[in-house]
Amino acid sequence: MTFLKLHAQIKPGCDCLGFGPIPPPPDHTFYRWGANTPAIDYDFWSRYERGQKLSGNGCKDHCHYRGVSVVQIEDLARKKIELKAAYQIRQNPDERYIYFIHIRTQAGLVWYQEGNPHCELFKDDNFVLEDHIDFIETFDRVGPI
Amino acid sequence: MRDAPNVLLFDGVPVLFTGRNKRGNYLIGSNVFDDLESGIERYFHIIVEPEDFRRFNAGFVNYLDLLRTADTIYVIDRNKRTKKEKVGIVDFAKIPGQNLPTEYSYFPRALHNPTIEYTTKIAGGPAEDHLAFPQHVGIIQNQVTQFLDKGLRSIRNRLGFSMETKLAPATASSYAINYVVSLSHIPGISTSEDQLLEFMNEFTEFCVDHLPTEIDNVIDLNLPRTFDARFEKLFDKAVSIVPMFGSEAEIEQERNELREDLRKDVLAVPPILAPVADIIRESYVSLEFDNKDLPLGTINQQFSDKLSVVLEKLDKVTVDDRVRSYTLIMYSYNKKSGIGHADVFIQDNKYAVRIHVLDFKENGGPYISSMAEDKLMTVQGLMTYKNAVPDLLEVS
Repeated sequence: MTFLKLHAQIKPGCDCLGFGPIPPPPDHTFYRWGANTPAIDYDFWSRYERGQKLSGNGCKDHCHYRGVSVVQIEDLARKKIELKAAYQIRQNPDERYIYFIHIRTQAGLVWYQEGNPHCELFKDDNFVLEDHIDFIETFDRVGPI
Repeated sequence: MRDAPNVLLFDGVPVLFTGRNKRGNYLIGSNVFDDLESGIERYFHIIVEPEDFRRFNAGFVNYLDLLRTADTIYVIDRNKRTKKEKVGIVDFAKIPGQNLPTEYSYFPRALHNPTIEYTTKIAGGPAEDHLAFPQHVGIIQNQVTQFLDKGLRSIRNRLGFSMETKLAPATASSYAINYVVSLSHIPGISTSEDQLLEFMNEFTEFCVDHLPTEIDNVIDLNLPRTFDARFEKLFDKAVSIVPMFGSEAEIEQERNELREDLRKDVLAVPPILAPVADIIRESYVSLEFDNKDLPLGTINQQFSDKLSVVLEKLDKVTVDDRVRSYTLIMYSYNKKSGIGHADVFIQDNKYAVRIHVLDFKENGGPYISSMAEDKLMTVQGLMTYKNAVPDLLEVS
């Protein structure tokens, strides 16, 4: 795997792979949020790819900025209730849909953070959504629980 | 917030959370938006009454309605980088629609895992200084332990598991007494600890909130029942936990026996809570009963009044037909509420009686003297008897 796109024009001295990301275990379930159903490439773009502003200037900030945020979950049924309930409190059309996924090994590397289910997917240079993400379910958060 | 918030819903950031402010008021807060570019997180905070807090946790009122009816909506902008906060106030009418919660913003009970930890938090009076009278604490501990025991008694007798309530170290917020309930030998095939604890919470909510309304139907199960009778829902819950086998007739008999046992347990609760209600009324303002962070009920003046009505229906209550003269020695008296206890001497007998001085003066002169000097005094008043035993003397 190669990560040239991930590190393109990154702050000198920053190496995201130095934070110890690992290939995603096949039995790990994650979710990602987006505005579309089904998901499109844009829903799996990082903030860097979307041209959004970087906040912070440390290497960790740069790597978070260039990673695709995904959240690891254990209990899918419970998480659905939580996410739907949370959407009733704070609606954000950009986060209307939740994609429950498995990440294939060839997708890239996942940066796990200890004690935090929030992870970053560092996409391989050859990442293709349809080939590297297995969609378990796309879930609409609008409407009553 | 005074301490770390209790996060109810998390979605990248705490979306909905509860806590208390420095004055001990209940707070509910929510995330409005989280701007990654500017690093600003915006939150709403509102102060709610314990009753509304509990109704929200119980799923009876949604967060949108709480915001709409809040006296003040605080807006907190927190800069994630600098950690600085700015606080303002906003009118509900001025909040853009996209920043409001939806009409479906009820707290989902499915996300609440009952725990084995219960807390009684006393507020008002000396509890404001994190203090309480030791004799009161002892009574509250004993009565609440008995109350917790009643919750699962009918089910426990049928499933054969054990239950033990222990005290955990008290905490200083208001004055909190902590209990830990241990359940053992639960028949795991048919029953889980969560089911049992959930039933205990529903039992508690029924006794504190609904029993005063449904007391007639609980005393006499043959009275016509309304569709929404909460006692029947509680009974249905018990039936869902206790497996029943045999012929239709045998199962019907088991159901009737379970219903009768549950009825007795429910009716045993008011006399258990009565001393607690008296103590709270005499010297404090309220006692909240929580299952960890889930409020189950509040014992306060309002509850006390409802409880009196329930107790009258349970006991044979009679009252003097005219004002009479009584001789007594006070042994406790709160000069701010005019409520206390005394040994009252009637013929050759002495009775421990609750005293309520109507139209009391705050210095409490003669009552304080009687208490301090162990001195007899004579008062005029109306005595209420429960099952022919003097119980309450209202002094004119």
